[in-house]
Amino acid sequence: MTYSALQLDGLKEIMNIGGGHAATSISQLVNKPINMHVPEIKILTYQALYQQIISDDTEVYATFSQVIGDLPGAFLFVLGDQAANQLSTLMLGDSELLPELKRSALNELTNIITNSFLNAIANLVNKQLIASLPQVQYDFFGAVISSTYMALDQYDDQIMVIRNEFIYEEARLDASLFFIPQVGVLEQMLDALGI
Amino acid sequence: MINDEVRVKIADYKITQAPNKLITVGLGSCIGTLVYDERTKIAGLSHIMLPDSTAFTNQTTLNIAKFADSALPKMVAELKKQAPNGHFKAKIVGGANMFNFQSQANSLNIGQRNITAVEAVLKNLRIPVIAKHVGGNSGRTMIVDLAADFDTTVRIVHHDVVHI
Repeated sequence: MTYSALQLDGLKEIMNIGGGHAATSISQLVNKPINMHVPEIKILTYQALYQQIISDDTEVYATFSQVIGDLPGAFLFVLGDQAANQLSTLMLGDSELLPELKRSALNELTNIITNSFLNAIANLVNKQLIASLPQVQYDFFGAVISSTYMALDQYDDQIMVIRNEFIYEEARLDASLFFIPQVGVLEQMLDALGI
Repeated sequence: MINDEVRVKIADYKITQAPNKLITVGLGSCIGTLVYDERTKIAGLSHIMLPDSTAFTNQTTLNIAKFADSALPKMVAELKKQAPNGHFKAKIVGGANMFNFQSQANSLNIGQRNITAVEAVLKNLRIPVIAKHVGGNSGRTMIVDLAADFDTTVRIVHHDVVHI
């Protein structure tokens, strides 16, 4: 798995546009400014992923949404406890939420984020992209992420981690959006951009 | 004696002796396989990701510990070297289908394929599976206490702890 600097820049730009739209959607939904870091694209081993990004035994809210259409893959929106509370409270205006209500809010949030992300990318690369309805699961990060890559036939020891991180009130919101394209999809995206 | 916790990383295996503990975390569709001998108090724990290495043998750097069919025979061979007269038994944990993934190419999801592969390899090696906690759609963490008759704690988020 090797990409040139130009290709990586191209992917970063795709993620920047998609993530920017996603951040705007969250802002509109919660009526608070939400910003985004410059997206991160790294090729990491699982071990490095757990050391540098989120440890494998951290319990997270992970929402999975499958992308169907011309460029298949998946999104995984990962939130820590605190961020999940912050966002669902902002959405529903109540901090004492029932767990089911919180899950439902996070599902809807991911639905909006992934769709605004996909629409932005679809326009950019001129392809049709549709996301399936998201499913939320509260589980160990290691179990969630490794199973997602496996389910998408990404069997390498090293994985390409494409990630946007969001910021709320100048503090890092413990929220990451992972984009996991199926094998060959990144090349198609780059082709569409003429890179 | 120092009581150490030996952590087994994803796509790896470790062998140790009582009174140490063997731990592997974040098992989703992956499987943790414990192979142990009660008399010599030796045990190995493997964390495989995939059932079968045969499709990957053309790769120059194949990680043997990643696949059920290559990891388990190697781990068991090392165990037998250290305990030549061992009567080995096994416990397996994992093989979940997170998010109820639907796979198109194969009728079975990867967790299920991993369970089948691990059980077949152990059968071939003539190692009986004494206990298992597999399937479902939740991630698991596995902690083996070698000093307490290989008691295996299975942790699932938001569920009661299970001992097998």
